[in-house]
Amino acid sequence: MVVIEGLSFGYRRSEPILVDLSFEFPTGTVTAVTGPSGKGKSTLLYLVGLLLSPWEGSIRIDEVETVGMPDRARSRLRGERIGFVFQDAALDATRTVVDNVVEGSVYTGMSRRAAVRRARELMDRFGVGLRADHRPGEVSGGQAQRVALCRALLVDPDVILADEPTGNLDVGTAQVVIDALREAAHSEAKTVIVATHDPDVMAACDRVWEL
Amino acid sequence: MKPLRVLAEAVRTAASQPVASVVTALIVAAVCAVILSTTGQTVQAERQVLAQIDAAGTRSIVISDTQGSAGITADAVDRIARLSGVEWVIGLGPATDVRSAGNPGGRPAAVRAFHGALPPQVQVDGPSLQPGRALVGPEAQATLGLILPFGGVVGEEVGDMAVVGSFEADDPLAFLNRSLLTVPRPDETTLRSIHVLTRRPSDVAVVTDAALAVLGPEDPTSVGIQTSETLAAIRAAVQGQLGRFGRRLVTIVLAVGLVLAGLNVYGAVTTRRRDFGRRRALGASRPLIVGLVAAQTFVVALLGASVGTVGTAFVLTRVTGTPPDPTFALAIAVLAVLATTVAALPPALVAAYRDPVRVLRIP
Repeated sequence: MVVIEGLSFGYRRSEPILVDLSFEFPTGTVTAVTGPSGKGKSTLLYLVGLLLSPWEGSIRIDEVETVGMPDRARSRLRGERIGFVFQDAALDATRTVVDNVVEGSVYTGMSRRAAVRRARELMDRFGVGLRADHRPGEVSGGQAQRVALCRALLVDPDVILADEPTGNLDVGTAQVVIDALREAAHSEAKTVIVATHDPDVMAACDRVWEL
Repeated sequence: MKPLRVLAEAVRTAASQPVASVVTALIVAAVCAVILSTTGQTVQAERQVLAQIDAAGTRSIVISDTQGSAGITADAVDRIARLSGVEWVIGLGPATDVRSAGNPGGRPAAVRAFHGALPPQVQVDGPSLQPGRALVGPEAQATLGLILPFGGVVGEEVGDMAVVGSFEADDPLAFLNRSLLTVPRPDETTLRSIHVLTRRPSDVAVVTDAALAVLGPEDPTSVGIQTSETLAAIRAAVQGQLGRFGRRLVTIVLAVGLVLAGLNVYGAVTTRRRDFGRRRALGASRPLIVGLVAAQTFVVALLGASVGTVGTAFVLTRVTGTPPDPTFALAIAVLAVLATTVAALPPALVAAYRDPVRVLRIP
């Protein structure tokens, strides 16, 4: 479970984006964070993902207070317990798909052998196993997002943060990605938070929070 | 985090950026090549000049009893050998004429008893000596008319003496080649000269003073000292001039290479902003990002330094016939690799502290 309390943040002191926000993201659910552009949907995800530090407030992941942690501890927590899915998948075009999926293992101490085994299981599960040795440029947008989801799930994180994961996808492909996120939340008890303004995605989520 | 995984990741990343990696490797290779072919040659020349000066005896001290009344005895050799800064010492007794027993009317050569161990500058081809037996130097052998370094010699003071082998001495004892060497009889304890080689040219003055104090001659006016202090001063001046020039050149070339390598790494880092943002999102800490960029640069620089050093050494050997000094070449390669890695640190810090959110967000 992720709990935020009294959260405030802005990129400039004179322009706060998020002011005194409090919310709970329960385990085993998919929560859509929605709202107009500029309201701070992605910013909220990056705060929960420990890539940004709030001005004020608290962010707890399974009762662990993350605000005020040093960079090394935040990075470790991020690597081991948080998975990111970005709007454009953010794959490294110079590596194969499987190498992209296992990249996070370098930062968490997971052995490459175990990482590759787990990556192949995930890719088979999400229907991209046959693309393991392809380059990202050789897979479709939907496949790339599923590869990104595999990468996010590699270290079996407690929290998955997806920033407009269907923003670049057609309806059919978007549904595949949403189904994959729902499966991760429901069958593996993950806390999934999706920043989106897509009504179809919101409809597929368990909860919707409008900023 | 396993360092080998980070190193493997650094190699993988370097391979995925061939242009930036090749440019960095070429810069490092060029730095090594320029230094080896300029300063490296200067160092070679310096060593040759210094070797020539050293051959003239920059480290040697000769204490001689010019009138035979100084009363220098054999135990002084042992005392001087124990002084700090002394590499070796040998004492020589008075020279006595001998002639070939097979040609008593022939030209004479001097036979001298030595006290102490023969230094490495005297190469012996023969058995260990005992009184009444001698080794003959190459010039003395010719003077005596000995076809082989064996036979007998005879002298008024030494009587009959067997030549049992030969020796050949290098500087600063090359003058011995005109003589025969033997070991002293137990009652022969008077020395006419003591030859000392110090460990460093700068030791000459100190060892000279200490040796004179140790000798305590009966007649100090009879003692003559020949030292190489002037040569040592020339040596220091040559070494200083050439060394300063070499250091300046190395510094300039390294600085230029360092700036170029740093700019190249900075350029590569700038074009990989999303790459570093992704790594941060996947759990890479800032120190790890710095380590990755530094390790990547280190690997590429190591490759460049290896190619540059080996290639330049090969070319120099073919062109000049003399390979560069291996220690110097290795030192330059190590220095170039370290300097390039250090040059990569500022861009690495830029990469580590860049806001990952700004580069990951899509407007």
